[in-house]
Amino acid sequence: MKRIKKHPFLIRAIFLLTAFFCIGWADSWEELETAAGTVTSIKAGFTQEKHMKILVRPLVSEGRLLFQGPDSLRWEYNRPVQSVLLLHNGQTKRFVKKNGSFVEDASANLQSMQVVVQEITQWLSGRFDENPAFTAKLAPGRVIVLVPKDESFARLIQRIEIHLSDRPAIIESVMIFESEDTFTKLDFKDVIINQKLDDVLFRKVR
Amino acid sequence: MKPIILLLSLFGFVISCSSLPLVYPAGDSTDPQPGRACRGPFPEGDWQLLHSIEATLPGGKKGFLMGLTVISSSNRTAQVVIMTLEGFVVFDALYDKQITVKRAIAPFDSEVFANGLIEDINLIFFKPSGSIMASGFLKNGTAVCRYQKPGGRIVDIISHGEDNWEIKQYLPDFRLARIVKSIYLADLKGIADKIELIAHGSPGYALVMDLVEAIPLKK
Repeated sequence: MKRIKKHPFLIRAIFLLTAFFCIGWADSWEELETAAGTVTSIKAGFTQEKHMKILVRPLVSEGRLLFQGPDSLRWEYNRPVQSVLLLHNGQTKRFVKKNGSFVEDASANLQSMQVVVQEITQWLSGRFDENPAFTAKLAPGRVIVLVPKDESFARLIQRIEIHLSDRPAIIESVMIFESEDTFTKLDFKDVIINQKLDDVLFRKVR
Repeated sequence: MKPIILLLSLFGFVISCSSLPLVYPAGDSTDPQPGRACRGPFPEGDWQLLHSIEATLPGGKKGFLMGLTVISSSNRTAQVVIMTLEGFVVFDALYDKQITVKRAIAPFDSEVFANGLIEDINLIFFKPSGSIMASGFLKNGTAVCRYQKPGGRIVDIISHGEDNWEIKQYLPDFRLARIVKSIYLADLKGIADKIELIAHGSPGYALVMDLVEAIPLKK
C-alpha cells in the first residue's frame, strides 16, 4: 500500500489500463452482441426500488435473477413478498408463497409480464435493438435508452435505461420510467456468468 | 301451465326476499361494546399502506397483486395504486369525493372496476358516512353497530373483540353485498394485519390483503 501511495502515477496507469480494457465493449450494437455472445448463463442478486411521487420512501424489494441462454429466465423475489416468475420454452408462470407453500398465479396481468420478461431475455443476450416496439439508442457512459415507438405504449412505459457495467456483457442496473415521477430501479449485484445452472430452476418453482 | 309459472314466480319472490339480522339493544346502557362497534376498526390519521393481495376470481382461479393505498381519515381521501408483484403499475386513481383515474391498464381499465374498487376501499378504511340506525348485540351475542348510508345501503360493524372485526354491507333491498373481515395482530392504531373481503353478486370475487408495510404520514 505504501508503495502505491508513493507512486500516484502507478494508480493512474492502472486506472487507464482498466478503462482501456473495458471501454470498447459497449461502443456499438455489434460489440454488445459479440460480448453477450460469450455469455451462456447469468446468476445475479438484485435490489429493486420503486419510486413514486406519493411515496414517503421508495418500496424496496430484493431477489435474484437467473438466466440461461437462449431464453430461460427465473426472476425471484425474496422480500417483501416471496414470488417466482419463470420463463421457459416461451411460457411464463408465476408462483407466490402463501402460508408456507407456492401457489400458481392465474391472473390476466401475467400476459403483460410475459412481454416484459421476454424483453429482458433479449437484453441479457445482448439483443437490445431487436424489439420493433422500441427505438434503441446507445448513449455515452455505457447507457442504452429504449423509447417506445407507439404513442399508446409510451403512455405505459415512457423509456427504459439500461446501464451497462464496465465488465463486458454485464448489466449494472435498469431503470423503467412509467412517467417522470414513477420509475423502477433494479440494481444488480454479485453477478456470476457462465456458471452451470440446473434446467429444473427454470421449470419448477423449487 | 299457468299455475306452475305462478308457483315458480312466487317461489322466486320468496327466495329473493332478504331481511337484516335483528339488533338487540344492550340490556346494560353502560356496556361499552356497542359504542366501540360504532367507532369501528378504522385507521385514524394519514397512512401509507402496502398490501399483498390475493384475488380469487370466478372459477376459483387466483391472482396476485400489490396494493398501495395512501389514506386520510379526516379528509376521507385515498390514492390507490395497484401493481404487479414486480412493481409495474396497472391502476392508479385518486378518490376525493369523486374518482380520478390516472392510469389503468387492461383488465383494470373499466369504470365498473374503478367504482367497485373505491367502494371497497371506502368500506375497508373509512367509517361509514350516514347515520347510526341501531346499536347493540346480534343474536349470537357479538356487539354490532348499524349505519344507514346515503342511498339506502346498510352497514353492520361487528366486533368479535379488540382484534377481530367484521363489516357487512347490505343493499337497500337487504341483500348482502360485501363482507370484510379484519384481523389485528399488532398494535398499529387501527391498521389490520389481514383483511378478507368477499363480494357477492355477479361477478363475485374475494380478496385477501396481507399488510406488508404501514407508514404513518405526518402533515
